[in-house]
Amino acid sequence: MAETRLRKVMRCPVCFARENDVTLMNNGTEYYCVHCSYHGNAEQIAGMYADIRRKYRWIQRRVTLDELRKL
Amino acid sequence: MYLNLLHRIYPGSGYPFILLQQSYAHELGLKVTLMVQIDAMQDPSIVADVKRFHEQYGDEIGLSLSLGYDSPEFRERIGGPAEFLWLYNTSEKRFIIQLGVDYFRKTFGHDPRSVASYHLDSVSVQILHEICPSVEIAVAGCFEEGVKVFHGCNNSWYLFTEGMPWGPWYPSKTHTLRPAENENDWSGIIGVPHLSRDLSLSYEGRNDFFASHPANAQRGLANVGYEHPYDYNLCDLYRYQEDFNKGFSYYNVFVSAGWLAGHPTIQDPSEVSQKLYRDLLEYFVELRNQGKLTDLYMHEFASWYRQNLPIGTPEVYLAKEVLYGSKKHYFWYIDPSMRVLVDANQGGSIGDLRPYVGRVPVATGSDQKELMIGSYPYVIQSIYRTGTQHHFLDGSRTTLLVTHADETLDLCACQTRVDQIAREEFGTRLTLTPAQLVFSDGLEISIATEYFFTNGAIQMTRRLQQSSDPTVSLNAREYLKGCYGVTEYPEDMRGITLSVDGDHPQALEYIYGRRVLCSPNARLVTAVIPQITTSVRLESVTPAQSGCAVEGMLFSPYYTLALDYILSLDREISTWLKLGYAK
Repeated sequence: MAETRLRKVMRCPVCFARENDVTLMNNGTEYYCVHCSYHGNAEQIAGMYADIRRKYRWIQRRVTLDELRKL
Repeated sequence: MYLNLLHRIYPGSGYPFILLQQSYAHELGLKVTLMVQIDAMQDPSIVADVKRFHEQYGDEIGLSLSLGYDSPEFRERIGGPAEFLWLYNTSEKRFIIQLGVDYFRKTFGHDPRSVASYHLDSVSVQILHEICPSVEIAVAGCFEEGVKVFHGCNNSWYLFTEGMPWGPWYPSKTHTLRPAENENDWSGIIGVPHLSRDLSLSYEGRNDFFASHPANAQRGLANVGYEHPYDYNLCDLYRYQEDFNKGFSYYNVFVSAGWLAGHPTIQDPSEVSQKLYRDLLEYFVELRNQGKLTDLYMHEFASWYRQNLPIGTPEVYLAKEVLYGSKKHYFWYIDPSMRVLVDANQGGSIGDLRPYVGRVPVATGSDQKELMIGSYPYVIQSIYRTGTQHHFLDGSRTTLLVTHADETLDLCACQTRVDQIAREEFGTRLTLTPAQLVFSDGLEISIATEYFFTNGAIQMTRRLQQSSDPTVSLNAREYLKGCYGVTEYPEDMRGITLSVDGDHPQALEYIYGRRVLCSPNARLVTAVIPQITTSVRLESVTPAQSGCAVEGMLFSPYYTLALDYILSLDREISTWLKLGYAK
């Protein structure tokens, strides 16, 4: 039960895009941020997380030691 | 590569996950150092587990001093909400360290040889060494943890340990984060960083997103579920440093079990966090089986380090960025006189410069002048002080400004790479790939830069390698804009002196007066910064035409040192950047 609750803790995707961890509050209808004006549901937030990951163009690329030497 | 794997032992609801971490390490046969808190030493079942881990698997038992002091003695003497060790006053530090050592002796029947804290300031190390001389090694700081993490935790994480080594070091007596100059200057304990950090992304951003702990990468959203090549890439990046450090590299993982079970900054399910952690441990075993990694207990590593890397040994690190895929190169150099970052992506500009030679004494704590700011001061930090020009004037950095027909180009605008690193008898030589510049009248040139690092001095040599006009003669200004500071905000520059020698020698004391001192045939331009007992000097090796020192103003408060040369195909220019101790 505790595990289920904890997994619903989410960070504000707008603040996170500025490298700031701000835990979102939940008013029963949606999540909202106390640091900025962002608000949204879990699905929207997950979509924004996916967008944030796009900046890491090599997030799924293994760079071996030999490749590092040539990089 | 040498590996230290550390697990922190503390009581509470997370304890089952400590046992999970332990089961991974033991199943894989990895050597683990257990860092046991004072509160854990009061729980008989935890103590029994720790003793069993030691007897059955050989785990080293060390003392954790960051937090977890709760005990009748602590409540009676100090009490109050939890505070980190390095932030207490001197008498409280002494009490806590004595308490930890006493509990350890009583519980395990011997003295610890290894200690951990996110940070151990110079007062804490001195007390620890005095109370418990058996301690050989300590986790003593977090590389580049400070302003960026403070902001990143919504301005709530007060741990400032910027300007320190990225790998093991000999902490000096007067500033733990400064490598000792000699045996007399050494605190007596070997320091290792808390985690191995990404030396590209920890400079640009948060060190707690990009480190040797898989949950840090998860925190930075640098994994996609169970896919996490970045964790392996970072490990290999550290292995890569063996190419430049006579085969030496070091990695450590120091994990609190909370990161494997529902940590609020991790969006992945706990099963993912646990699998990623185990994956990394399995990779260590794979490397070990190939003869490429040696896992050691902390005290074992201390012995190896003491015997094999004497005080004063310089270390270098070639950082290649491997998450964004930018292919940027950063070069780091460290010795007891300075820590330097060369940003190859900005034409080889120095982006961070810590003048250890100033030997600034710093301790943290409520009775210390610096309070919670334990960082070693910089004279250049281009992330906090703009670097190359943006809205208005530039900030702290170095560069070469090349002028042709009234047009000036800035090497900072040229992307270069590290071409070669050579470790020589008296220093380290760094060669960058040539910077390509094109002037508006069509003149195309390429300039090669070479750095030589040795004991508080950096020689910068520039060569005009190619020119579309072989007869061209260019004005080249070796340029340093400096400041000093420990955070992102400007410090008071009043009291700094600037001077220039040459045909018209001049000097000034800083009043933010926008004054310019120029002198023909100058050889030296100097800034003396009494606030950090440091001097910064440009000194010509090849003859300069003139030298300038420029005083800042409040909207652009920093000082500029410059030497002007003539650059042509048959005429290289060379300059020392020298750091010194100065009152």
